[in-house]
Amino acid sequence: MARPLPETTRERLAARARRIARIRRRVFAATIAAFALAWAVIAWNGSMGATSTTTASASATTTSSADAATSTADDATSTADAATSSSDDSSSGSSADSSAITTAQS
Amino acid sequence: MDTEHIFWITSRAAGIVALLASTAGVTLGLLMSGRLVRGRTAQLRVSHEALCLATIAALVIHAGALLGDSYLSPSLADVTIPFVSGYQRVWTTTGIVAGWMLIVLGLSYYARGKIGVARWRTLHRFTALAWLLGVLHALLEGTDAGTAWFLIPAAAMVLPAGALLAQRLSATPAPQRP
Repeated sequence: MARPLPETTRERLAARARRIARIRRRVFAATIAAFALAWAVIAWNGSMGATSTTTASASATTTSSADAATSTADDATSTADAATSSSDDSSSGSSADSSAITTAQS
Repeated sequence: MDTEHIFWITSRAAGIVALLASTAGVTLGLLMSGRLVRGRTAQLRVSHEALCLATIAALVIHAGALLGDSYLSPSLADVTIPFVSGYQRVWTTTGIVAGWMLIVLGLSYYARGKIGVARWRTLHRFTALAWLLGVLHALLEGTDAGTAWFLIPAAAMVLPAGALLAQRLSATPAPQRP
């Protein structure tokens, strides 16, 4: 049968275990804090990724072909503005435009 | 904020945490193995291990949260198997390979008795390669890679780790004992 450890050794081992637990808690707390901070910054920043120019071009095409359509004019025009500013040069619509929307978060 | 973006934001935040935690872990590992810190080795080793576990948790959340994203809507295979995803295939694959390497090499610590300590030490060196692949994935595919708020803290951690790694790789190996 194993002999019981001396009191001092037990105290030293307990202190070591406490130190290790404290370090682990700190690392995990720092990790969670970093995650929360990154989450908040991304949400506050508002950017959900590069808006695909193909998405914009599809909207622009809709606008140009439906200038007279009053029901969608307001929304579509603002989208068309955004499309113009994002250096989209395709004003003629094609089926390839909308099928290529696979790359970015809108 | 739209609830549809919650998974996307969670994945990005977890990716950033994985990058930072793995960088801190690699830095500590290089400091210890290069004997650049005296004393407190036991505490550093505990921190190194905790950072490794935090990295693995962040990687699982990074990939897992993507599965809930309704915009990209990747499959499980897309986020776990190299070359399956069509989205930025090269850099996605780089991230997947880096992630698996970090997970497997990290958890191999707990099997070093079975692997053999010498063999485990050799394997463990590949963690630096996995970390480098992760950095490439973050910088070349990461949505936030072009933003100052990401680049400044990332550079502040990655550059010193890179310098330590370069110093380690360029160091003349110590002569073998007879």
